[in-house]
Amino acid sequence: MQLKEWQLIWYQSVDLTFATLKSRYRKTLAGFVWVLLNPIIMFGVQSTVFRTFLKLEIRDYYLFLVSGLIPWVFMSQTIQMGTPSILSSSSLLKAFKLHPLVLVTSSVLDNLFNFLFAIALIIIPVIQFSESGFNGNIFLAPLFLLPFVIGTFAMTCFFSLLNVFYRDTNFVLGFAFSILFFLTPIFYPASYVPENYRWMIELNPFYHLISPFRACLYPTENGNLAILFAKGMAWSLGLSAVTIYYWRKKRNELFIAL
Amino acid sequence: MNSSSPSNILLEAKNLHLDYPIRLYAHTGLRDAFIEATKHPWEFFMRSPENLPILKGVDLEIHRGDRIGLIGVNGAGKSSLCRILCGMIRPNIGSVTTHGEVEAIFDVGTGILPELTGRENAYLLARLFFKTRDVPKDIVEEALAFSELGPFLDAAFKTYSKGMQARLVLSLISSTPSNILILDEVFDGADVFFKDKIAARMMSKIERSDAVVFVSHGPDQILQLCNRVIILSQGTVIFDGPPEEGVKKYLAMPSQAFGQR
Repeated sequence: MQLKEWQLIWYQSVDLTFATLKSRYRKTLAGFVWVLLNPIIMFGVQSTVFRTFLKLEIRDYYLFLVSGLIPWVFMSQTIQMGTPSILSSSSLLKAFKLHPLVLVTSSVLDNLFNFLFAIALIIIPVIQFSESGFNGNIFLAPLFLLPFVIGTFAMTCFFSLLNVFYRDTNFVLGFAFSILFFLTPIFYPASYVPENYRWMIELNPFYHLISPFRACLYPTENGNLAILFAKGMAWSLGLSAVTIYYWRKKRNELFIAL
Repeated sequence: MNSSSPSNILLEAKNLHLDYPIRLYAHTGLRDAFIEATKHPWEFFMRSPENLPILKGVDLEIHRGDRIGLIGVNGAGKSSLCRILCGMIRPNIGSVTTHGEVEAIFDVGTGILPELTGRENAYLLARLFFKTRDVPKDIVEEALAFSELGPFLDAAFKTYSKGMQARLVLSLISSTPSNILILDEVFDGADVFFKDKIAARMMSKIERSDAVVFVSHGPDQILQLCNRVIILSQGTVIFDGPPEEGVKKYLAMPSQAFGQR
């Protein structure tokens, strides 16, 4: 595809995102609060259960939890909200020439906004009140979000197309995410995982996409920031390659399956 | 008007082949796929899908001034051809070269964000359909006035009837001329009173556009609008010539042609 076409997809996605945001927040600020309610409740419940009930011995647990949980919530929400985006607009896509990626991109951007608000309104206050406080690495966070954003976008594209052909994809994804939440070191550190189970972590893309961002906020035992970033980028580009292959293969079939 | 000098060629399609795998119609969910994979693992993983040919080598040149009526029985490949011409789908073999923007509309009963008002949908649709960020405001406002929806314009699009939706969309897309315009059976939605009015406006858009491809089942509309007729049958062009002759040939075609490949 030419640069001009990509530019068009980007502009159309941005326009559609603003219109969507407008329709969501049209009446009050309540719609906006609603979006943040989910991560706030998740954070409140989990920090109480794991820190107070289960007494996990992890230094600065609130900061540790929030720096992994908020990206996780955003990632699973983006993928699950974006997966039906092509199918639910099938009449629009069949009505005139509109690249299906516009709908997916717009859905991801919409959630990215929510994520940025969540960072500003949840993560930053938690850092403020944490034991470790702000550290210099936090300025790397925007860059270290890159593998996370690319990987989330690629997976959303993949599953939104899969959902056109297999219409219960989102149902299966919901199930998968509820399992993956326990298998991904979100509320426990990766170092808790015994040596003979390490491969499960190493093969978990969600872990590799989230950990560079987390390591910027929470000075961890995870080791070298550059290595975490490189691993995250490798995973995100790998997922993108799979997605591009699948899109190229299926782009025509899309229109009869819709 | 219908000159064939190279500078007047707006669109050139060469040897278009398109087929779809039949497998598509077999299962619709991961659950079905799982059941099939456990029941017939060999077939599920090893069998390559059978292809159903839709277009079998279509060549087409569209010149400046062409008003093409594209006719054919259901399943002849008309919509698939139009989707290839406007770039929605890509042919398996063959190529399309265009000189100018192709605008194509296949359905007029569609809003983008149904929760938004008709007016907001119109502005968004203008940006998406005309593929530009700066659609002049007065063009959209003129189209909104033409639609005669009045106070309904500030009601949510999802509350509109099919006819009202068609009014809004048709008024908007007929507001500016285009290089190459593809209309795939779009007059069905609007009510009878509005039909004449929108038909006149559409006609004016058609006259001002450089070339038009018009898919229809109505011979009257074809004879009224077109200066060239193409008959598509079983994925190939079987006629390309003057409208009167084309319509006569189409009406004389045996009805059992449908479905034979």
